[in-house]
Amino acid sequence: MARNRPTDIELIEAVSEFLAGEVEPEIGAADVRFRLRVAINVLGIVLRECRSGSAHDDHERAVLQALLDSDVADLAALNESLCEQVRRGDFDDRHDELVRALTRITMDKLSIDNPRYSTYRDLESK
Amino acid sequence: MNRDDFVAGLQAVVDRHLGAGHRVENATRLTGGAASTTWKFDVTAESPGRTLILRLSQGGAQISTGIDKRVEAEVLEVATGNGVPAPEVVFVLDPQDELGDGFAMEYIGGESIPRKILRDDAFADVRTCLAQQCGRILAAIHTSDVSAIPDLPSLDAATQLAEYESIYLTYGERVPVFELALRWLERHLPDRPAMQLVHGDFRNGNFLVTPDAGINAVLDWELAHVGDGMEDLGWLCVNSWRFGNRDKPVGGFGERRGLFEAYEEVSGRVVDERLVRFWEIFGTLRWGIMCLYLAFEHLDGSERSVERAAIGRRVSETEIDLLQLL
Repeated sequence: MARNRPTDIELIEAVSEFLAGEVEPEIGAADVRFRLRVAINVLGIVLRECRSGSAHDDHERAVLQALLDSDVADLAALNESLCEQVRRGDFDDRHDELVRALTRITMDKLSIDNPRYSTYRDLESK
Repeated sequence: MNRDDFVAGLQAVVDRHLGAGHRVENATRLTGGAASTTWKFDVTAESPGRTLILRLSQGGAQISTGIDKRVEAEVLEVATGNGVPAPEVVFVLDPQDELGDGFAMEYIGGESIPRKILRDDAFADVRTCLAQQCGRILAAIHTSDVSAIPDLPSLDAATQLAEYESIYLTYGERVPVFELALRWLERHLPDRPAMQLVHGDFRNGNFLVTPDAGINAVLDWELAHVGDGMEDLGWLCVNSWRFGNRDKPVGGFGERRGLFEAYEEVSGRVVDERLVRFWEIFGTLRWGIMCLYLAFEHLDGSERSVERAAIGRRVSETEIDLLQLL
């Protein structure tokens, strides 16, 4: 489907700038200011997610397929399967391998959700 | 009930409990939610007025086995009786007050915002002793006479783990890191009876801190229960409650050594560090599941808010912390 400019990313950026630049200075009530900051933060999450495209999904799929020795493509199905296997104890003897794999996937998630999180920054800097 | 009706009702309650001649002024609602609301108000008489806080139950759902306000007041009385810095209970509501379940306590001053406690210069000196102070306070909490609060629920590790697992499973969200943590916790369940008064939410964020006294008061006792004191030590060290200071395990302000030594000295009990670690892992999972719960309160329409929507994206913080711990 053809779309005119601005792109979805550019629209989010415009709203974010408006909220931070024009709305925030007008808000006196502390609790509303707090929620406004949360809202601006949320737009940041959405922006990072849009910018990342399918790269994280592709990475997650590759990691899970290797871990589960599977060629299933559907991420929900892979995660469901992994959860069942962990629950059953199938990974009790493959703990370190599982932790390494899940760490790679979780770091991708945090790069979008909160790249300023202390643990993320500590691990990224290693 | 509208504000005027509420204030009139509150005046009647103050008359009943404190006697005539106490005028209620400046009643302000501080917080409000499905589970409870908090009001701040002044009572002025001939002598200088006092500021009080009213904690009221709203009757709505609470995430876990929160206690009635009546029981919360009893917990406060027992804890303060054992030397714990916490607000003094002034009166407890009864059915004739017609305001439901609640109690009034003295208003105590201090800073509760974690980032301020951790970053403001005013607290620089006191920060160096906060971990030890936490140890002493927790020792006083855990050695309080829990038999004096018969309605306090007893929650051992297995009970709490089952409760949080059941909350997680409600949403049908598959979080492999949570599954890993649940399995680890199940396989390492401590076999300790629930016998001590446990605060249940003892962390940076629930303290009122002043530059001279340090922790002036411990707040938010609604998750108090009978359990293992090690729970409180673990929760205090969960990374989320270090507010960015990951290298300071205790509340973002101190070291475990300081916390444990002070605790042992005052309580006369030895800290089992493996148990504290169990509860730090449990606490990290618990906070992650609570974030899921709060996000779904927004998603299912029971409490729409941008805050609750946003908190769903904090689950990943607890996931990385669990992976580092396990």
